[in-house]
Amino acid sequence: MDCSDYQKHMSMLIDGELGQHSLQALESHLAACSVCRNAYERMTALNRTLKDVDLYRPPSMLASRVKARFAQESGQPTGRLFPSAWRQVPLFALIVLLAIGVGNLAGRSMTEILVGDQSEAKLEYLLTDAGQSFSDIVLDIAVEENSR
Amino acid sequence: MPYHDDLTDEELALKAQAGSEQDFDALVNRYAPAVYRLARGITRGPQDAEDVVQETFLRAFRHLDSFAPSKATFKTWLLTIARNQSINVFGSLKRRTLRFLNEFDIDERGTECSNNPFSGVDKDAESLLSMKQEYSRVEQALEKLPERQRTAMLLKAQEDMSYDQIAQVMNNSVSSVESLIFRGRKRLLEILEDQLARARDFAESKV
Repeated sequence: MDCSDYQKHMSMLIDGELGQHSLQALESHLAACSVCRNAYERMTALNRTLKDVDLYRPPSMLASRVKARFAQESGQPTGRLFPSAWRQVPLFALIVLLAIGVGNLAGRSMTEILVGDQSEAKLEYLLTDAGQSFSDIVLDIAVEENSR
Repeated sequence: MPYHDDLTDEELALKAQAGSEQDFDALVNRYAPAVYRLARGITRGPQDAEDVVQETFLRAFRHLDSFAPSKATFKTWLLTIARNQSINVFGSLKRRTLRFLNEFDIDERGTECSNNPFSGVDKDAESLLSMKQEYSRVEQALEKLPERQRTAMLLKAQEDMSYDQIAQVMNNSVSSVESLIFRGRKRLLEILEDQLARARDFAESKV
């Protein structure tokens, strides 16, 4: 092992990740190598600095803002508990619409569906045949008067 | 003391999985700062970091069913989501602004960082200036590291995670994490010492 390997072990030692066997070898090396002792002191100082400067301190009220936006984006507070159920709403609505549509079509032939509803036309035709239109009624009255 | 304080992360997560909104909120309270610090370290911008925090918890909530305490701690699981979100943001930001930041803006931003915790703190002016300079020096030096080295170092220094946990968050091997942190430390020392040497030269040239 050279100094670079030992310095990697120093980094692991600082992080509490060095095994006992490697620790003993490192201690022996440090006792004999001033370059690595110096490197160890610099690494330790850097580690202290990184902790001391407290980088990227979060803004105050961060959690509250997150929860507020969370509630806003999720809809009603109770809706938050069932996000997957809410996502199914469009699908559920589609199924209901299809069911209603199929129900309405039940018992009707494809020709009826495609051509349209002819029952009203038939009824109108029958009514006309029965002389129920305004002109038929007027005509009937005239015929009756003539026959007297 | 709220009863949530007595529960472990995993207990809270399991209760949240069962539908407890309060327990999920307790996890937000507990981990919003950690998610923010990681996001800030990767994306660099305070607003981007806050957006990442928001998106991370939203995704965590939606995928809560996939959290399994036997596979990872809640913190590791959450920070894995946070890192992925941060990288997505950082990737697009990097393309747009990295050149601008590196070549022009970093020196200007120094002590004007909006989240510099020393701004407005009532302390002795000299020590305040020294702390602000230290903060800015470290922040700028970290920004010069590759993202993976920076992330591994921050997870260790700020969140005190084990190499194994960092490896999970970064989807890497433990030996890679060892190397990332070691190379990051070396590089950071070089940058900081170079900064100090240049500052010393500058001060001497003024005498």
